[in-house]
This record gives sequence, structure tokens and C-alpha cells, in this order.
Amino acid sequence: MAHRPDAEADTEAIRARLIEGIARAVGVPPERIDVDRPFMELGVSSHDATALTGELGVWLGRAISPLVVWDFPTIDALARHLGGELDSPLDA
Amino acid sequence: MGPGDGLRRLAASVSLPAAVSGFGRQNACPDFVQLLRRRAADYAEKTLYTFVPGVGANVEVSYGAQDLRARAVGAALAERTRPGDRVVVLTPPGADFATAFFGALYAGCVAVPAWPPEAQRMASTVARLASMVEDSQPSAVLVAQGAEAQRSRIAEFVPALAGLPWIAVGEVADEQAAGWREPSLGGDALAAIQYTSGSTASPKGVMLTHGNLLANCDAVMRLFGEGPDTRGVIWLPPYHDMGLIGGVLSPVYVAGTCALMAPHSFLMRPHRWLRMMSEFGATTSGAPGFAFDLCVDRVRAEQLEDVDLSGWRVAFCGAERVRPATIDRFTRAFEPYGFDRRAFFPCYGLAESTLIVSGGPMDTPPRVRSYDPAALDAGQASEREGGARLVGCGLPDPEAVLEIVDPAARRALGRGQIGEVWVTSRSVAGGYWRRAEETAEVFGAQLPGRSERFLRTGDLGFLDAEGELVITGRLKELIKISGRGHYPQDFEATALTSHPGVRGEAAAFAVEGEDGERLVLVVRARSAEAEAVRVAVREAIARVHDVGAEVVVTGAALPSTLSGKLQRLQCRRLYVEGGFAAK
Repeated sequence: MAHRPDAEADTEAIRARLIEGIARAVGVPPERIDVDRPFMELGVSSHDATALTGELGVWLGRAISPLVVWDFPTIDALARHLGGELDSPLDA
Repeated sequence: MGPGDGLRRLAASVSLPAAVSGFGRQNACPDFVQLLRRRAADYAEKTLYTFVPGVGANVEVSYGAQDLRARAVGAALAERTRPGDRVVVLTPPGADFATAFFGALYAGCVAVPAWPPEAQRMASTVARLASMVEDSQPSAVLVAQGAEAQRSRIAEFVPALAGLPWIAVGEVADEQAAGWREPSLGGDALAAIQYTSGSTASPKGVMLTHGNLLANCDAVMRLFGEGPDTRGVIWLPPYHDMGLIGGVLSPVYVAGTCALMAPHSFLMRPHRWLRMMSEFGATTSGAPGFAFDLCVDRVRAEQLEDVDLSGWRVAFCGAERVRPATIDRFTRAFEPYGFDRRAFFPCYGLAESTLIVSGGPMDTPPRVRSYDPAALDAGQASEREGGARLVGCGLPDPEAVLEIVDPAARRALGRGQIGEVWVTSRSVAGGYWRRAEETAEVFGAQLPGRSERFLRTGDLGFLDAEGELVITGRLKELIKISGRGHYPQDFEATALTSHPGVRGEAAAFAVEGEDGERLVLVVRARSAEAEAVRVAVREAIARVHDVGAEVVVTGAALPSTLSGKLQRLQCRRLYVEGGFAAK
């Protein structure tokens, strides 16, 4: 899969969006969210994860399977995957 | 051919009020199998369910088709089971769930619905299944597809299921229906065991008879004003009371039609719910409060083009305390699309009473009144402007006997006095599966001088001047997150083993937040390990219970009695007052 030229910009925006969404879901200020911690360690339930991927999908204008949070289980990995930088979970 | 047949034929072609069309008492069926059979005879071609998948075309199932599939699966199951055997219904939400559930009933078996364990979270989602299997001792398992593959995958974690017959309902041929024989059932025969009550460590299966299911469907019909012209939309999980009664059984009872969607489809895209209401011209749909809030927070105008909600007559709201803000915000947001505040239908119920205990009346706006908080704390409901706003949960079903009782003195209280809600009706289950002690305690309560046996709901409330039930709190230590119940002991057990730094003490409780109840865990650990413990507990709670928790670490001993029993209410009070303020 070809690298898209503005992939990095997308990744940054997606990362910020994920931080904000998760901060809201777990009731913690955004600055205390660790982007390298697995979602479960942040206290994200599958209810939250499903809702978040749904929101992200609408924002990005494409269908995202809620299962991505299992294949790319940190904010950083998920943002990079959705931004086009990571093709497979093995790259994460 | 008698007068009853003519009336039934008339009812099939014309929409009549329930009392005239002969549903309920006059045309009573003794069990749900006979009910579905009769509906299939009278409404063979009418669409019973429309399953709306995340991707792909809708699947419509007529009454005749559902009966055929139930007979086929029932016949296949009856070859491998005996009447009264428990059968795990392990199908995802959708057409296969309904077929499996009815298939179990058609075989004269007892359905035990359970969330299929998720491949990505096998270890934690399988724990609950294992607990239910150990408790109910099933004789067979029904899945959607690939019986052998699922058996080898899941039985690895739940060995008790390995030697049982696993049947994939999607792979049972229609031709098998020819071999079906109607089971001898009647109202007292067990139809299902609901495991929504109780914890993983101590599961409590509510025993629902065919009589219970029919009685509560009847209550829903009367309170919600339902009939053959009822068009429902339900995305609630069918493994729990609201989704099972509301989405699967009640439509059959009233000969209506219902569109069904999986819970995660709603969670992913909440606007789908509202679009479905409009596209199906639905009259009836509901959910716990968080779902209405989710719509307000996430649905955007561009997703609601051409959406018309003016046909929505009953927007039932239950499973957790309804907040006035939820009603106000949802009404404000969707009034422009035709939603009418009078549709809001707060209701109260619990699995121990099959589902519904109170609700309505229809076509009236929900009653929200303001009460004096100090008086509420003292057990009195006294109206006062600017006080605590509480939403009424409707009128109790007239067929039920409901009392507000002082739980300590076991004395019935009067209007306006707060006590535990006790109820007795044909919807109240016989008890918990093979738990004689808890059954006697919860289902066998008596008042002096009266012979009835009451269900102690564990919920606190009062009856207002007009006889409407208002729920104020909870006596039992159940915690409700997004409409799902959990027990503090389960959270505490998880916390205690999550990190070696946890010093043997943990307390779980719920705190009322802006968005409803949220979970707090206070854990004792040395301050040097506080951060590591905090992260570990949060992760363990999310992994095992699939709930987000706020974790507070303290170096001090948690409040307990002289004999060492944890005092959760004290912990909660300390937390709320800032006694565990973070360093």
C-alpha cells in the first residue's frame, strides 16, 4: 500500500482526536493520556472503543471496523494505522 | 369453526384494540410454543422481524418462516436432549438468535441465552460463560454457523461444553421440521434462565416459566398500548431482559413487527437508530438513558436528512434511573424532526420480574418533580421547588400488587414514604436456579397478616399522590453502568489480584456523575507503587469486566467494621467528600 504524502498530517490529527475522545471516555485530562499505553490500561471498555471507532469513521468518512483497537491497541499505533503509515499489526 | 376463529381472522386483517382482538385472557395460549404456532397460522405471511445487518441487505422473516425454522431446530435438538434440559443459546444478535431461542422452546428445553465469547477477548468474555455453564448444567449448545469449529475454539476454555452436542442453527435444513413433535409444556414449564443478576463468582439465574413470559408480554401490551399495528425497533442485546422481551417475544405476543439491529451497530453509529425509526415508520422503541444521551451528543443534522420521528409513540426508557436532563436534551434535539415529548415513557422493571413492573401512561409527558433533598434522605418524599428532580417511572401494572416496605421493620408504608419496592404478580419469577436460600430471601418475602409472597426488588422508591412509582435509589449493592448491572465484590476481587502492590483491600462503588453512574475503585497500596497499581487495576477492570473505572490509591486502611467487614458506603462518602484527594 503506497505511502500517502499527507499521511503524517493525518496521523497527527487522528492522534489528537483519539486522545481527546479517550480522555472524555475515561474521565481523565488529555495531558495525562499516554499514547503508548494499551487501551485497556487506560481503562477503555469495548463500549467506549466501539463508540470511538464509530465517531472516527464518521469523521474520516470511511468505515472502520471496531476490531482495529485489538490489532493496533495503543493510541499511537492506531493513529499511525489509520493515517496510512502502518499496514499490518506486525509493524506496530 | 367457532366465533373465536372469525374474530381472529378479523383481527388479522384489521387493526383492533388489544381487548377486542382477543389477545390476552380470552384467547390465552398456555405456553410460548403454542403462541408462536397460533400466530404463524393466523399471520403466516406477515413480517415478524426485519434484521438490519451492519453491511448488506435486510433479512425479513415472516411468522410462518420463523415457526418453520423453530420446528426444524426444535426437531434437531429434541434428538439430542430431553424435555427440561438446559440449552445454551450462544448465537450473535439477529435472525439466528430468534431461531435458536424458539428452537430450544420448541424442543421443550430451557433456553440459557449468553453473549458469544469474543475471539479478541476470549479469556475475559469466556469467564462469564463458564460460570453460567457450571451453574445451569446444559445438555446442548446452539450456535449460528460452524458448530465443530466453535466447539473446539470455546471448549478449550470451557471444558464442560466439550462433550455436549453443538448444533449450528444456520445449518439445520427446513426438512427437519417434518420430524417435529409439539412438546407438552403449559404455563409452569421453564422456558428460560436469565443470568443478568448475580456476579461471575456467584451467578444467579432467574427462572422464567412460559407463564412468566406470557404474563409480562401481556403487561407490556397493556401498558405500552400494543397490538398488531405495533412497529418496533430494537437494538438491545437479546441476552438481557429488555432486548429479549422487547425485541424478540413481545412482537410475537401482539402480532406486531419489529426491526432488529445489533447493539454495536447502534454504538458505532447512533444515527442509525433514528433513521430506522423513520424508515420503518416505527411506533415503539427504547433503551437505557445513556443511549438517548449518545444520540444528543453524536448525531449530526446531516445524518438526519428526511428523518421523521413523528410516528414514535412510545420511547421507553429504563434499566437505569432516568435523568431529567436526558429527557430535556433529547426532546430539544429531536423535536425539529417530529419527536414528541409525550412519547417518553420512563419505566421500571427487573429480570426477577421478567421485565416490566411499571410504566406510562401512554401519550403523557414524563412526570418530573422536585423534592426536598433532606426529606428524601430521611425517607420522605416532599415536594419543594428547586430541590432534587426525580422522574416518575409510571403506574404499576394493575395486574400486579406493589408495596413500598420498610425493609428493616417489614412494614408496608404509605404514599410519599420511601422504602423498598416489593412486588407480586404473574410476571415474578419462581426464583433463582438451584439457589434455595437466595430464592427464599428474595422471592419469598411476606408482610404481617398477608399470605402473598413478594419479590424484594432491592430498589428504593415511593408512590406519589397519584400512585406513580418514583425510584430514588438502591438497597442492593448493584452498580449500573450503561444499563448493565455489576456487583462490587466482582470488581474488588479483580482489583485485589491485579498487582502485587495491592495491600489486600479494595472497595468498589458507583458515584452519580453528569452522564449517569460511574465506577470508582479505592485500593490500598504503598504510595511508592501508587501509579503502577492505578494503571494495573484500571487495566484489569477493563479487561475482565469491560468497564472503565476511576481508580484511587490510598495508603490508609479502608473503613471497615470492628469485625473487619468492608464498609463500602463509608468509602463512598469519604471519596465524595474528597477524603482520598490525590497527592
